[in-house]
Amino acid sequence: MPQCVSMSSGNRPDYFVLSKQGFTGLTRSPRFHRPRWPYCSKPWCPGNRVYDCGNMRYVRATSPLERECRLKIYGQSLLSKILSSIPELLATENIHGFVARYFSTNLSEILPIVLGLEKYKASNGVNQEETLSVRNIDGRVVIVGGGYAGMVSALELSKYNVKSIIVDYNGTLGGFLKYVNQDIVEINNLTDKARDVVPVVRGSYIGFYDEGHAILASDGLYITHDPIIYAGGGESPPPVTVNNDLPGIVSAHYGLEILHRTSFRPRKVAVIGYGYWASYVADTIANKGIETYLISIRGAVKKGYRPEKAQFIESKSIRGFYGGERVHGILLGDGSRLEADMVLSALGEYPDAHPLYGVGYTPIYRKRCWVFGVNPPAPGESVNGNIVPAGSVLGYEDPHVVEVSAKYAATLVAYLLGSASEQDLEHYYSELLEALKKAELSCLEVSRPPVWLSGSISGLQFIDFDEDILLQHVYNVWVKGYRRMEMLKRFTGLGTGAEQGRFSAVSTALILASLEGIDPLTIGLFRARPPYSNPEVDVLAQIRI
Amino acid sequence: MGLPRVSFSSELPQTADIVIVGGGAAGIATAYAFARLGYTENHRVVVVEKGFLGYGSSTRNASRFRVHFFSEENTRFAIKSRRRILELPKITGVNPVITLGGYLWLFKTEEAFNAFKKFNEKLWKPYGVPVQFMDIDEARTKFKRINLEGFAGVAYGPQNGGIHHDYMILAMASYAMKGGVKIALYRKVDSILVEAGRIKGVRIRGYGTVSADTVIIAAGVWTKTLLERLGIKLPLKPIRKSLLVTEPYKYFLREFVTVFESGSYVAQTLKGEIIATEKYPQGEPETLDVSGVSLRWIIATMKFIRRLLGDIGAGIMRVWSGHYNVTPDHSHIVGRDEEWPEGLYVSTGFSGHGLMMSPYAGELLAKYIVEGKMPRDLEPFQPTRFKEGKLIRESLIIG
Repeated sequence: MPQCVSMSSGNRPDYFVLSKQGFTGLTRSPRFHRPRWPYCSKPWCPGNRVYDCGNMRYVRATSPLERECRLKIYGQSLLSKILSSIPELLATENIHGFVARYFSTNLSEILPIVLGLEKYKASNGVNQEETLSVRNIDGRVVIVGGGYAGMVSALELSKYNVKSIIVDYNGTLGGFLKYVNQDIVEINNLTDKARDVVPVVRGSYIGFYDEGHAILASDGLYITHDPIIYAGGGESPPPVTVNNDLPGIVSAHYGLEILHRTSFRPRKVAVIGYGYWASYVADTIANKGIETYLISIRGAVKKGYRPEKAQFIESKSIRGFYGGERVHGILLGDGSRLEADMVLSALGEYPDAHPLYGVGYTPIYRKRCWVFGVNPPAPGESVNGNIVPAGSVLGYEDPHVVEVSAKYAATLVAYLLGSASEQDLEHYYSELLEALKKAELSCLEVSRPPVWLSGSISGLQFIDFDEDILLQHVYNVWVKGYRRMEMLKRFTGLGTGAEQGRFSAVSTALILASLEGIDPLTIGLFRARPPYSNPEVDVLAQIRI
Repeated sequence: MGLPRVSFSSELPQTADIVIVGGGAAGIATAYAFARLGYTENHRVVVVEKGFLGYGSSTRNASRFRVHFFSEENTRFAIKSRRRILELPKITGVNPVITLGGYLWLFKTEEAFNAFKKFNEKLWKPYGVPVQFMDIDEARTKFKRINLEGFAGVAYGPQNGGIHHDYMILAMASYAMKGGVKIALYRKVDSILVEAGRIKGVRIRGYGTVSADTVIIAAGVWTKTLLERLGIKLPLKPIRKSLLVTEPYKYFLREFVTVFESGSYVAQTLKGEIIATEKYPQGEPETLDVSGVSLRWIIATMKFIRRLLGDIGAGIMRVWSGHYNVTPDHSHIVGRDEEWPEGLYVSTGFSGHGLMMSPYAGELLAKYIVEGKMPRDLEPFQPTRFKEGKLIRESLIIG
């Protein structure tokens, strides 16, 4: 039985409210530690896709050119091998509190064994005063993010005989690779080649402090003074797959709003996702009398999250969408087809370079890709905050960029630690520059949810769904003379909620650029502040200092 | 009361009557006071701010004001400043979101508790701002949510409260701009120009100069450097202080709760965020750089929150640092020294009391400049007091 709570105003679904109502197994959004506000409505909300509906005129959020988009699929290999060998680990994903800590601690002990690696000591103290310790892990390079980039970095570091720790917020490593279960990918043999890599799951990077970089793991704080690699990727990934740009594939937030505000009634709706939010969406739509399916692509939806009314399908992966003018259905992992004339993504993707902006990296607007990202430091340049970015935080989803940037980041760190040569560094840097150039040109082939203004500012167009800030609010304030990011933030309140500007700052920068008629590059974003993953007061209070 | 229409600019006139360096609480309050006095009707007042409105510690604080100090000078000053804060909505038409939730002092020792009582009799009662005292049992029934275990007593100052720093500065800035004050943002003053013992204006980086006979430096922790370039030394120390807020939580804490002995405090914003700080276990660093925060401090603050409020199940949303621009007597410096170049004034060294003291400080300074006569309440706060050894005896410090 899914537990449900009414989402009326005054009953914001924040973690506290929900947990007080018995939502013990609540999944909080990985980055924000809270369930998503259930109606992020408009183009700049992550995961939104297409915006032509009924009498509402919006702009589609994927490709401004209405060209057919094709996405190369990467995936498989290492991760699915690991994961399929211990499938029960997947089930820890939605467990919270004591059980989660228990599992994650165990997981960090199990994975190294599976990988045949050194076991990193982890204790298991929960909920007592000062049970968590601070551990200095100098000498082991921290890689934040256990996705493709993180793993490539680890492999590369091991080639230089540099020890590393991969830290991932989730209960498993894998990042977006978990969602694409197809063949290929270049990181074969990581298991064979990587040495001295310790995965730490349910650990989060909480920032760069006077004392060094800090990682909060289930057994305490890890502190390092060495340079780290940040490969945080994005917020939960979208259904990255073939033809995901077909009209009719929208974010769950937007889909709900379409159904709520227009007379458009699809015959069949498919919701892709997992957890409470996806289940909530599916049931909401099913309750409107529409045939609705919830497709879990993790194969791990907990019983409590299964929808009541909507039908539940488990699929290892989504191979793609089919259709013509608009979506007609989904190709499931086993090759079967599921008809649907509207597909809602309850996942999302947005490059999360927040911790990098926090230490002084300049947000670079990737015009053709519609996102902000960062440039890694060139050889010889100083490294802001001792963090080297890798992977899609650069602003490109291109797998080649992800891979090369990870290799470059690892080489740069190894170089800083005296283990790699200048030649190695120059080699990867020139490769990276080339890859970036190519990615820039091919950016439109991949799909990101960009920010895209609709023709109207009169509708309910949320740009900050933590603080309920609409485009209108930003516009009204701008009209009154508040024409800087910092002022828009301070006098609307946007970016002051749990998301801390990860989405809303980017959106606002683009809105401001559009209103002022200037390049988004000249605007920048407002300063990001640690700790980036909202660690709980009660957990940090248990740390022994 | 909607947001006021504003027009900030980065353009500046070539000449002005008065240039105020710094668009934080101190500078804006002074500009506001010039507008209130009608001075701006026929004089040109310009504020030059290097960042956004309120950049610096004016927007990095916990946004509270109090009237209870251990010195008579500060108590009197704060009472009058409070009155000016409360008038802001009526005068400016901007709502600065004032709350009068009071300050709650917790005392670890009987001695401190009794000392506080003495100040109440000697100082605060005569000034009409008495504090209420409670023993722990009584306080327990009144403040159920706070864990008072281990404290010796509680004092409550109902006259104190909070304000929204952004809106407070905006209220004063918008009024000043309506009155003709020009506020330029993102313009950095590099140096103060002096010729033959007289102020000539300011030089602005990448822009040029603005000539003026009068310059007021209200540049927070950057005041010291600007003065040093003129060969003037003031005993100012930029002490980095950090703050944090949690995710919004059910609103239950009206009072600003502070532990007397340590100065650490916890409070709640109207949005429900818990805002708190504990002392740095290793001591607060003296630095101009505010980009850093100490992890040990975060953990100490977490323990402090947990100690007073128990498990709250909320995450920390952000941490940041700002400054206390500290003087040897923890009191502000507003005015001038006759030995300085003619036309040079400062409004600085607020030692953590800038937002709360700024409305009255601005008013007195503007009056001093316009009327040429030192207001009585301003006398104790002159920069000359340090060399004359006339320090203010202030030791009620929070944060």
